[in-house]
Amino acid sequence: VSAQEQSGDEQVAEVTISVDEDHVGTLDAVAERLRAVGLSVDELLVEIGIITGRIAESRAEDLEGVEGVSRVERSRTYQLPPPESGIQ
Amino acid sequence: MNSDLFPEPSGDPSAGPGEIETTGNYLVVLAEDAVEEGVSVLRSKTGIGVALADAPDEAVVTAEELEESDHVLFPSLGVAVVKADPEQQDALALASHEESSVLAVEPERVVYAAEQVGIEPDLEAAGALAGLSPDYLRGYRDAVDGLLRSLGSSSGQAAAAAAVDESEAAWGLQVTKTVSSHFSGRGVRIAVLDTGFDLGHPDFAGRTVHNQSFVAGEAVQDAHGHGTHCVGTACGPDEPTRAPRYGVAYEAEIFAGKVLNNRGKGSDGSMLAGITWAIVNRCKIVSMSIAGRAPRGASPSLVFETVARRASALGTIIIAAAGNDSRRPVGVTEPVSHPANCPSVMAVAAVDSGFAIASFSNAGINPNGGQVDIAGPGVRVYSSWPRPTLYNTIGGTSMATPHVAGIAALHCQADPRITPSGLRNVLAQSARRLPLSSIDVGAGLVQAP
Repeated sequence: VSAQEQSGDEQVAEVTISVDEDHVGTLDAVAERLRAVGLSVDELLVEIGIITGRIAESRAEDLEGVEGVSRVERSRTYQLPPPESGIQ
Repeated sequence: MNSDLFPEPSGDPSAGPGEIETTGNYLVVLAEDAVEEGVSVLRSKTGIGVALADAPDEAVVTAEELEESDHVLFPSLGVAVVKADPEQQDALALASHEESSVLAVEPERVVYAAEQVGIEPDLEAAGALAGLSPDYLRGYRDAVDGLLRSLGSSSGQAAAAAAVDESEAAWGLQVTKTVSSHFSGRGVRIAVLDTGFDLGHPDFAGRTVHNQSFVAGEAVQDAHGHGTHCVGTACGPDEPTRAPRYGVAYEAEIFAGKVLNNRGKGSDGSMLAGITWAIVNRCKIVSMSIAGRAPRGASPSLVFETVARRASALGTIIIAAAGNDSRRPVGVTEPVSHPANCPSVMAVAAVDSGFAIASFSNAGINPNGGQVDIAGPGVRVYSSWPRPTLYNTIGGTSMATPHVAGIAALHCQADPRITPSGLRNVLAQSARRLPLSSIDVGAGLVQAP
């Protein structure tokens, strides 16, 4: 690890978090607990029991221990080919 | 199922069904990056030991080996031509399903080089000159032909597509029996989550298009084209301003969600927000022509599987593209992409108008639900495109997916009380069986009720 990387801003992880069946009805409370461990909440998707947000890379693992969380995944990105491509 | 409906599967347009003559030999296509492994799998699983044939300067020796061995491998092609007894044929078929290094096995056909008769004497002469046996040259030619035939998706696809009369309706609407369906998707809500939609497209004048952007700083208006094309296929009009017809569920209620930006980029977060929007709006169908490459052997996302199950419980089916990572002409078949690889998401592969699997279409080769569920028309697909272009013909599992979504809406209209799992069943059960592996096309080609 170079000195520059060490001194740079810490990487931010974008995450999607599914809430377990017992806590789907109390998404707000789960979100509060996630904020307490450092998650900056983007969206509460009540119907599907999902919370999306961002957190410092070094703290991302802490999310998994939060009560009501069933799964934490890094948000994937998608890229279509350019419009002129024949295969889409 | 009427097998006479199937077009001739070989690349030779002159040979009708049932006229395929085989040599008794088999072509074995090995994974490009695992030829050595493939050779050892063949030896251990089928007892077939292949001799190496490659560079012309090694070929004199190899040709002699060939005479003795009955089997020959062309490493630069990744293709072996082998003789197999019935027991070995079964073992070969099994290996092609179970071993990642063995991609395909098929009978070597006698007739697929149109000029075969004219070539025979040349093989003798050329062989004599080069010090190669005619058998060697014949084997090499057949291996190359086998590869070219699997190219069907490019050369053969274009030829087959030209044979379909699209003056009144795009070929995809014909082969799925959409054109003769009595259903229009009336009142059924379909969400297409993509790059948005050209809200001013003349073919949709007077049609309500519910819309929402989940991309920060960008309106729903589609500056890419992908979304407008997919909406067109799923929900385009019965009588567009200019023929042919290209849309399936022409009276469905359109929900165009923008989850990919105008450069075609998006993330899980925006896709999940779009799915939620569709559920809140009681869309029975979500069409997602979005695919993120899944590594070989990877398990599906538990977050998306959970989401798809919850969506299903709330009355919404999620249909997604299997992905376009395969390069079948060179022997590369890649697994179904995320999120189509989730068991509760319906994964759609692409076929061409000759009913061959598209060269790029991904396959069900990953564990834990990474199967292809169904296939849709996905090569040379004509649909709407943002103004001023208005129409475009492109291919991809992205194009196959909205065919399935639109036809799902027809089924919903036919049976308004159908559940997402019931819908999934009816789509699979009514699919037209194809003479292709379910690994590639699942239940077969989607059919309208």
